Amino acid sequence: MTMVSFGDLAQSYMLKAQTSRLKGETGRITQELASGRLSDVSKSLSGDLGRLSALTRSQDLASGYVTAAQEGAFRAGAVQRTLGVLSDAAQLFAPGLLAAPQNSNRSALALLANQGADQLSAAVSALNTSMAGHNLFSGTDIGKTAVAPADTILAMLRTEIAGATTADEVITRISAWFDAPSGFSTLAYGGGLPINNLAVSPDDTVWLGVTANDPAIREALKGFAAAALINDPAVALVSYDMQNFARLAGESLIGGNDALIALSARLGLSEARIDSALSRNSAEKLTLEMATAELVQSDPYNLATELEAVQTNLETLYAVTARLSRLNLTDFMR
Amino acid sequence: MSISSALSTALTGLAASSRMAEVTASNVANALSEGYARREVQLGSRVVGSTGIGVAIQGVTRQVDHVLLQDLRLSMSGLAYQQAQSRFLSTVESSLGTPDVAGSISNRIAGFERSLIEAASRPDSDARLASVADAAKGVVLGLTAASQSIQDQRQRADSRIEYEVGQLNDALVSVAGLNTRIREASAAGRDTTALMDLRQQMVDKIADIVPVKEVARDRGEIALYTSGGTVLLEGRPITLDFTRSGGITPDMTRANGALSGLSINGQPLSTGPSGGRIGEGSLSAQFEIRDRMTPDAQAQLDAVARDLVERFSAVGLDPTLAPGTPGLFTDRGQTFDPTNEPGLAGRLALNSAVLPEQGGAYWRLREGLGAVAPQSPGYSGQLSAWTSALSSSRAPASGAFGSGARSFAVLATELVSGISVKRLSVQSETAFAAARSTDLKSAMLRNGVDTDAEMQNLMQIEKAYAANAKVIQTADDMLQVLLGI
Repeated sequence: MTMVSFGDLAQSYMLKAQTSRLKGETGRITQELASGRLSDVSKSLSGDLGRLSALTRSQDLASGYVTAAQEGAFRAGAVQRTLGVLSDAAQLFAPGLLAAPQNSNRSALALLANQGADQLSAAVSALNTSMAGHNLFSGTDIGKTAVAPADTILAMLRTEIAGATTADEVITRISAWFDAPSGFSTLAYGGGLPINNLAVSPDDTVWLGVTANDPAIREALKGFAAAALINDPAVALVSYDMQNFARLAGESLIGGNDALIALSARLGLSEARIDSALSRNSAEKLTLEMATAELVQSDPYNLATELEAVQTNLETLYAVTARLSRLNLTDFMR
Repeated sequence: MSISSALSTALTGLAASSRMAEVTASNVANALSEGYARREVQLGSRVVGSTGIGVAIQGVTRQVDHVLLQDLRLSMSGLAYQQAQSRFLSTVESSLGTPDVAGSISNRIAGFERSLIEAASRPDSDARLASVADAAKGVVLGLTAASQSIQDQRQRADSRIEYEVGQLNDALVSVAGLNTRIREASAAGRDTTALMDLRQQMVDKIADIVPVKEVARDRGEIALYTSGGTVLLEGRPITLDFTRSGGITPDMTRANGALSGLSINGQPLSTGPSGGRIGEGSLSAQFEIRDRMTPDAQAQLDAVARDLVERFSAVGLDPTLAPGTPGLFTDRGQTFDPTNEPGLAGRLALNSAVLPEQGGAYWRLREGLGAVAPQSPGYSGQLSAWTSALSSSRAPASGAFGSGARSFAVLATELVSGISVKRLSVQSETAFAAARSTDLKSAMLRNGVDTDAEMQNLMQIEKAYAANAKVIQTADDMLQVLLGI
């Protein structure tokens, strides 16, 4: 006789399989709830990790760019302040020099010359400012002093202008020394090439390449140096020529000041771009974080509901298991 | 005459009842043993001459649904085939990591780019340059660790094959031995059911390794075939040959003879595609992993490593570098040779010129690898060049990535995505196979021992025994009455 029966093992196997499935579910849900992350990110993205990777990468890069932009802004600010100092000095000093032909006694010219020497050394020390061991005007050679001391510059100029007889000749020689590559650039400028453009966002690089060798700065230095040499014994100019020389120095300073303002404006543009990049990067970082969270974060409301369902299911299963295990014929065969 | 015939008839009834009680006891005792097939006593009327006298035990049969058993075995083999592959892909995927995980390959590459951007802002800072070197080392480590993980799995698959081949050979010998014992026992008219249980368990063990088909032969013997059509046991068992290889390197393949294949008596046996001549089971999955999946994954990884090396040794990227000398990323310190691509990911190393612990210096990251001395601490051009080497679009020179140029980060992500997609598809196949084999297993177990049914039988047996005993007692009483006359 063939029996229609239901094997004991089938029942326990079914119960065990269900229990382990439900427990696995509970494990996954509690893990996702506790960590706040999906347990299988690839699965929720159907294996295409391109978007997630782009998001997390942009986030990483954005924080790198924020650091770079902050440092760039700091550097540009310091350079801008120095340029301001130079420009102010030139603006204050130039009128006196231009007025020299009208105010012609020797002691007044000597005063102007002294003032010129002071202004030159003030300008040189401003250009040699260092920020955290960083010489701002030395270009890539940040470890080196940007400009040689004022005395050295003046001494070199003295040999350069020795023997000149007219104011025009003196100013031409001074100009030539400052402008020629073999003059100031080689002998007095201690730095290197301008620094490279700084990347402040994935598609934005800004110019920060101000060095002491910039034509605008050289022009200003030229004016100060020329003023310091008005009554220098290296050139024995007649009084009339001295007045003229002072005027020419003043004109050079005015020209230098204009160039400094233009340079400062150019740097100002860079500063503005750094600023906007900085705020854009910070905003972008936030947006990216939110977008990433959307991809990898678990949904606690959903999970809580799922957990409730699984819990009910599991409790029912336990009740059924207990009930079924009591239900056997052997217990009734008394 | 008829009283004594009633007596002997009742005796046969008693004997049958005791035998049934014995079988029931055996069933109940084995209610929880897997692989035990429920026994049933076959009864018939006992015929002496032309008259029936009592009941005869015609035999004890095992209740097995052979079709179901066959399906179950095949589904178990299929499940093992999928599971092994799914495990492999999961391990590779987690060794590469998804982009949101710190330490994943994408995360390491982004960290490298970030450190370059930060260093370009302060090229004079040794700390920034050191963090570039560390991040670059991180990228190298990410690739070498993934490569190591893949190669470990390959080695493990090879050892696993040896183990499974050994198990299979042993099991085949055991089945052949059981075949002989069953044939002898049935010839002698003894009970063979216990031996058959043993044999079924042994075949189940084989089914874990290869998909096996059981074919009944005369006198209770069975023959075994794989679903791929290879004879495993037909009278005599075959012996599979396999030699394990120690220290497998990525360039060793079965095709170039460095790795052993499977053979029977010197005849090579195909193991793929889809299990080849042995069919889809755990054994062919290990071959699939060793001969196809690990080389594929390694090739993709090597292609990514090669792309990295070539990006950083491009002509003109670093003007201080003499042509033909290794770039920032090297093949174990040497220039990469395109003919020696297999295993590159495992040999990848950072150029020692930038590592102080290997006699180099961090400033070479700023000045160029061939620079003799640090010159301009504020120069960031080389650092920007490294950054653009990473982010510029470039078509990978090798690997199955599809045509088109892409940045290094995208390429690495495509590598992980490729593995993830495969893992997910194999995993869903695995889930399907698992559900199917769970169903079949339930169905199989349903045919097993049901203690309630056995108890009901036991009650009937008890009743029959008591009734037969009553018949004997009554017959005895009748004889006593006769004797007392």
